[in-house]
Amino acid sequence: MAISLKTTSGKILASVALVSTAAAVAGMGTYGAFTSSTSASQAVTAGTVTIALGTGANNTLNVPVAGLLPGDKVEKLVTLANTGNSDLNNVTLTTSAGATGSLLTTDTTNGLQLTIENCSVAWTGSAAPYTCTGTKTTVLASGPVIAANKALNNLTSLTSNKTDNLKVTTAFPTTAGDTFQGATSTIGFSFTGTQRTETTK
Amino acid sequence: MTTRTSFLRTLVIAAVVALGLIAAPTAAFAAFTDVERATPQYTAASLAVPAAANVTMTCSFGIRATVTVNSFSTVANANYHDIKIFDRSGNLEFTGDLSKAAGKTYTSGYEVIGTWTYEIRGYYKVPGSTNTWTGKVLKGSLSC
Repeated sequence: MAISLKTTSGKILASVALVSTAAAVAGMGTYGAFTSSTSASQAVTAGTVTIALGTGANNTLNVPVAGLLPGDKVEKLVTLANTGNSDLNNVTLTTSAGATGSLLTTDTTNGLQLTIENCSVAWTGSAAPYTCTGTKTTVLASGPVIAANKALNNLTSLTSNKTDNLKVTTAFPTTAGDTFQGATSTIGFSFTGTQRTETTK
Repeated sequence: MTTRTSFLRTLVIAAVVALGLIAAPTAAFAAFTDVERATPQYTAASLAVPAAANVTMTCSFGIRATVTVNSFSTVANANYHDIKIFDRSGNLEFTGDLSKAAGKTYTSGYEVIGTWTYEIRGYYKVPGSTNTWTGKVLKGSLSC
């Protein structure tokens, strides 16, 4: 049913609508207020998680080793640095021989055994056996050379801009039998640094 | 049929919800990581065949032989070398430690000599252990 201005009720309704609209517009003017705004900006930058193995004389880990005999030990030196701007929660080591697996890596008892030690100062000596004139700590206790996600202990490089002096020792047990002759494997050492525990800032 | 369709629909929805619940915490626990790698190669020794040997045999009236190792090439990584002498029937006559003079000469008893053979090889006797690695053999024959 349409509203007609010809009827009394229609006129009343139209008047009420008009008055209400006017009142609303007037009210808006009445409740106007002075305002001001300001803003602040905060640069937020994510931290960087970066670890680095040494190069040159600070990393003999990549040097191949041949002619291993039962009872031999191979010592390699490598620095591990936290070059990011974040502390780390942990550093883990995963080793793998992939398709190059041999008795050296598959025989967990008579195959290669891995130990990692840390020295508070650079290791001394131009050739193995290297000695530590500072404080020596065990980073990874002796165990089969192939392992996954082994947590490394006693690292100062969990802190940003710190560097550890690691000695990676690979021992060939005296019990390795004749069948090990000529065995060869390329072992991948993967060091993984993971960010520190989250905090509220 | 309608009940079955409804059940399957409910099952699919439940599975999707479950997957979502699993995936959500995974994303929440993502962390920055960095990986550094090194890939050294390790190779065990092997004991090769002695490169050469000079072994001679002399006989007395064809019934007594004397075998002498005049020289031999040592094997890399071996810490012990020996010679094994076999008679014409292939029986072991003598084993000599080539690091000793007595091990380099052997005189047989009286017997029909014929053609003898010898084997020279290197070993690695692991110090402080009974474990021994045996090298590849150099073979030769001897006759008067």
